[in-house]
Amino acid sequence: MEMNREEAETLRGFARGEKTWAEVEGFTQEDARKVAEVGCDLAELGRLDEARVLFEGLVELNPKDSGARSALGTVYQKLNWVDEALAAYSAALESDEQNPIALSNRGELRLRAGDGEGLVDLKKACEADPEGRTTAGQRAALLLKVVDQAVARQAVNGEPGKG
Amino acid sequence: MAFEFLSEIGKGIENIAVGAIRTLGDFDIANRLIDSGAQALGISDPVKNVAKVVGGVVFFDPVVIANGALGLWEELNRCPPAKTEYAPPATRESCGNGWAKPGQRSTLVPPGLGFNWPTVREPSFQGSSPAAASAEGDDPEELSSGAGPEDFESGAAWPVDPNLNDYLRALKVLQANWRTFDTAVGARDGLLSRENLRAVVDNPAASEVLKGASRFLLDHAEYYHRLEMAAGIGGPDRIVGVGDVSAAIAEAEAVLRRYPADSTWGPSSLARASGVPHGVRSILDSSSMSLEEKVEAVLQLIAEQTDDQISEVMDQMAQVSQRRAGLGQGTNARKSAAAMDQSMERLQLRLQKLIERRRQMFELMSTLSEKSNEMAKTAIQNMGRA
Repeated sequence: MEMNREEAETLRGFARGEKTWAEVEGFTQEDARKVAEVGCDLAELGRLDEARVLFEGLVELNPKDSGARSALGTVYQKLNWVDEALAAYSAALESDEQNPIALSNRGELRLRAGDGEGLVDLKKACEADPEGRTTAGQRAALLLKVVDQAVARQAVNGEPGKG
Repeated sequence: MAFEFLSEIGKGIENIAVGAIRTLGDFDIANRLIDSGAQALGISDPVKNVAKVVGGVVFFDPVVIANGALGLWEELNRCPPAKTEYAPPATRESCGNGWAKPGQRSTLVPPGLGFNWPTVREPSFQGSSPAAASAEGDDPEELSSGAGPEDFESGAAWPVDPNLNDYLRALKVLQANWRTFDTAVGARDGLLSRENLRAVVDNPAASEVLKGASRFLLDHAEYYHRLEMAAGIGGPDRIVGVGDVSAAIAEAEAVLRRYPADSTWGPSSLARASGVPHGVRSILDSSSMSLEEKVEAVLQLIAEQTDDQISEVMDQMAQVSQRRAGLGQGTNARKSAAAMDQSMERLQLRLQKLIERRRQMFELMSTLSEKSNEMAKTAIQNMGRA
């Protein structure tokens, strides 16, 4: 099979771990977005296994894409695969430490496990998505509001019985 | 009585608090949360300790909830946990990282076939197919009907030479491999003549793709003349420059856009009458392609048609999803939802079959190319021994 220098270099780059399979196959971000839309719709319809397959495929194509990893994490979370979900969110944050979906959902999972670091994640999620463009960002802001209101209330009331 | 009344209110508030706990998952997080999380938020120790002492769930202070946090609770229920959403990275540096650049083709596809991943089209079809046109209210018959002699005379439609497609293909091969053609004879001078084309045809090491393009231009003097004067510089001097190639490509593409393939006649109309797709017929009729090139081109055409079908199925799936998401809660809505779920299943099955077919076409093309190369090598080795 004939191949020009650039293509050969792309394959060598993949063998060395510098290029992704998406770059080898010519799969663009726009293609990924379209596939992800279908995956999100499938998850919304409750077809979690199919959504999982799509997002796992996207992660295989481009392990650097934090959006695909965080979306996969949400599917794992819905399937109650908590460890896998946490791993997916953490991997997403390695590529993009300001991913609000990964931060918010990991924060909530951490809180459920009794890890107070979850509040830090929620705070970072709000900072990453101040306008609430993602549902996860909105949820993080609401959770922190509940905490703030409860703490503020206690500060006003002081010791028990004196409020 | 007042005490009982207050007691009932207290119970009600307590129930609300329990409900608020369940919003986060029905567990006791209060003390653990206060210790570590409060530190993260910079909450002072006295406040933290007060919070611990209060019996129950300070995190969900019933008074707070009764005074307005209940509204937050309702909003929380509207923002469910783990909603699946896809958000590409916000920063320019990480956006697109790891994905191919737009227009980049697959490294694994043999050169000359020009195969790309199917691009999933937005629902705005812009009349690209009869099915799309009928979705927009146009008459599909108008789009797919061919032009006959009476239309030619009236000027309503204009037939395009079926060889124009081969011409365009040859031009693109020429453009992509310009240096190879340029240096086939003599030094690199940025010019090409019929001698260069003959040299490529006579070169046993040249690929069939290069040879096919050369043969077409050698066999079709009318198109060679068209090419040598495409840039409008100089007369018929039998010399082709890179500017001529670019200009010729632009001109041929403009003609094909203006006069779609369906408006051709002659062999195409015969092809439609015989049930053979127009594209396949023009490939089979082409005199400039070798048998192997024809088979590869037919397989590529089938793969491209499969890609179009894959795109259409994915568009349909997106539409079904959107309609499903907009349904209400009533009995009729549930029935519609069930029907849409069945449609989605059928579409998914069809998508799987199309993807499998595409994979098989691609494997066939790769195998064909591989066998062709092996045969060529064997032939050359045999010649060497002879």
